[in-house]
Amino acid sequence: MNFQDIGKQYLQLISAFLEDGLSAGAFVDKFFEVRERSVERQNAPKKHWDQPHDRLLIGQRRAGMLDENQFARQWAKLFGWSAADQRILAFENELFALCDAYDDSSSSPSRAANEVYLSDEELRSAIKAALKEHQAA
Amino acid sequence: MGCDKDLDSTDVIAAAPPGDVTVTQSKLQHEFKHAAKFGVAGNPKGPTSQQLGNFAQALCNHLNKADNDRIEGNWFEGRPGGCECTHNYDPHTDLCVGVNRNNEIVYAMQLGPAQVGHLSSTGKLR
Repeated sequence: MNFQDIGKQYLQLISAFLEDGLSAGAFVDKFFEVRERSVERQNAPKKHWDQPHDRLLIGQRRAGMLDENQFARQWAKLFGWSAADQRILAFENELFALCDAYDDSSSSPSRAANEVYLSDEELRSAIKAALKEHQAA
Repeated sequence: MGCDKDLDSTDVIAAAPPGDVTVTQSKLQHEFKHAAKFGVAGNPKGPTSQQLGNFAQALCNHLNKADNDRIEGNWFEGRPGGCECTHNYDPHTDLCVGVNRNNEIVYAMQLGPAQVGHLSSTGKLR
């Protein structure tokens, strides 16, 4: 499965959630299932490395040898991601953060005010916004 | 302070350097969907008190790892509840735990390469 196929699965899931009555909880569960496959795919190149190239690159970034854009370019090159792949993965990162924040009891008064939780409606709204941003990218 | 205290599911549980890091019970329950990645068994939709305690212990152990990358950045920047935080990232497992400026755990999860790249580049997960 390539990242374009994974991206299509995300769009199908979002459509089912926003338009076809898939519940927020089911959407989140299914998102994490697809995301697991995506991470396996992302990690696949590591199996063929003779040294931890990702760690070496992060070390260069932390040492100030690479700026943000240089690092991002080299990271994508290291993992073999095309520009289209990177758009899908950035979208996935956004969806992951939103799904991670989803909590079906987010309106509970026991929730601390300084914690990020999204209710069903907040998740729906945030997913709509993320989709709009992704489609505009 | 280490992780040798008897952790349970009281409101404030974990403790780890630097300073005492705390996690609320609601946060532990919320993040329990990622507990298996930290080697903790249990039903994400209804963990027992013992399982929550095990998870708190695992988070404490993670924060005590000497060779974690500690990356200063943000969590949910610009949103209510978003904050500046230190991302405690273990490059060997890709596990990452965010701790805010009040020494409270704000998230715990396993990152994929795209997230690691974004975090290393920007200091942000989102």
